[in-house]
Amino acid sequence: MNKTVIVGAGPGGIAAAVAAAEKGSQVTLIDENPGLGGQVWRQNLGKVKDKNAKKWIDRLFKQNIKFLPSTRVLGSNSTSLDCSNPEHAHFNIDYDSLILATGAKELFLPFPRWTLPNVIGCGGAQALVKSGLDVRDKRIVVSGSGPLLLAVAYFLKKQGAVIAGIFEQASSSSLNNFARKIAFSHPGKILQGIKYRLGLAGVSWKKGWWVKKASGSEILESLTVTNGQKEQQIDCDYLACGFGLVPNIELPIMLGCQLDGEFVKVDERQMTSKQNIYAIGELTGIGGLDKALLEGEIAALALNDIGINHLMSRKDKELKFTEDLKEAFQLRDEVKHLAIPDTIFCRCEDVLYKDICDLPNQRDAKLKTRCGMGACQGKICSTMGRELFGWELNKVSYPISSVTIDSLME
Amino acid sequence: MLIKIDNQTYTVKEGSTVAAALMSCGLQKIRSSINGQARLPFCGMGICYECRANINGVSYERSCMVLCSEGMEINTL
Repeated sequence: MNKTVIVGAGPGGIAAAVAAAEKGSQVTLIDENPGLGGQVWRQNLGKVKDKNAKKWIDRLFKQNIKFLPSTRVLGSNSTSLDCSNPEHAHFNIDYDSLILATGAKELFLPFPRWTLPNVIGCGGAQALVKSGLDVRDKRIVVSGSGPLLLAVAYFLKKQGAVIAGIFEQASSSSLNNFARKIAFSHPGKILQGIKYRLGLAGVSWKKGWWVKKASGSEILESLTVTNGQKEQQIDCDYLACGFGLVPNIELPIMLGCQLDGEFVKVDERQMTSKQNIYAIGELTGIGGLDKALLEGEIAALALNDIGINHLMSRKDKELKFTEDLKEAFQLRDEVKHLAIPDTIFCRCEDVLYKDICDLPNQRDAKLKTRCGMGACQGKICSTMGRELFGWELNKVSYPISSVTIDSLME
Repeated sequence: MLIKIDNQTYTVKEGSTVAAALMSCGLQKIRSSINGQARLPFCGMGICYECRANINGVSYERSCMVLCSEGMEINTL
């Protein structure tokens, strides 16, 4: 029996697990979070609320799938993953086929005082609220870029927050173009957008605007927003801010999978440059839920030698959506130049913007300032450096995620 | 559900992560940055390590990746 291991239990990983198990694979699904669902289907205090998510998770439980939550991958070779979880500090999982479904993180960009407490990610705000953060009657500004802004604002309002404004850096014409382009291929997404907008009736949603700086003595108190000409001051309790998504490619890089830009290169079967390793979802291009579900199914069928031709027209549609999304929410230059000399760039090591902005590459930044050498290992600041200064992708070394020395010695 | 944060007892929602619980309990700081600035959870999904705390004796745990359990003892850094 084909031993299939799937890393990442978001929608893509779940779809891959279901399809692979239904076709006879022996499936192990692992995720570093304590629950199923990844970010988009993150459970709300342990409960699955989304109908589609419920349907897939029900299918998952019908199969004999081994799910390992709170499990981190530390390293890997071509036949085995090196993992750690609370029960076993250090253990291996062997595989015949590996499906990488590690999803994406948010792209952050530095602006003055962005390290103030209660400035949080956009998807991050949703994640924290679903995990128990009480935002009833809190004033929240949602800003940055991408379809997530509207979805998160809608969600936060439903949880009782007062949305003090939504500021999307992309222009109004860019968003209208995007809506026109996807209207026929993805009418469901347009309807969803309309639902969100109606649910946010009375909330200001400004396009071509962004947060210029955060203010507060100890904790966030207010924001300055701008469209480059006008400025406005807004008092708030939280800022939920994200500039789109970037793939979590540490594990594919460690496995030696070839990349295409910052994404993992795959063929039509979702196979990477490594024979028995597949990549799906945001790892191969930021395209959201439908793309991840479809690619999960494709990878699972392909590795069981089952035809996938019938899924190719849907795949083309999702790849087109991925392109349209990228084009519509391109970042304007102004949001890449918000940091002032004393703005913190590397949050782990408190490295200032002025200390790294003139250095030629990330290696110099590391050697001279420790930028990117703190607890997060550059996951936040290296990603910003790529966006702002064209820094090359970080090398990945063992262990991918920080662990105690004791667990490595076991 | 009862948990202890820096030796004070708080009631938190069942199913909460430690990070969300710490914020909901009104903490204005979970850790100090190396230059002494207060920090609270930021990415909410295990990437940034801003929410790290000592949980049941284990240092540097990402509190956003750990669920609260009855009697859990959390110490901020």
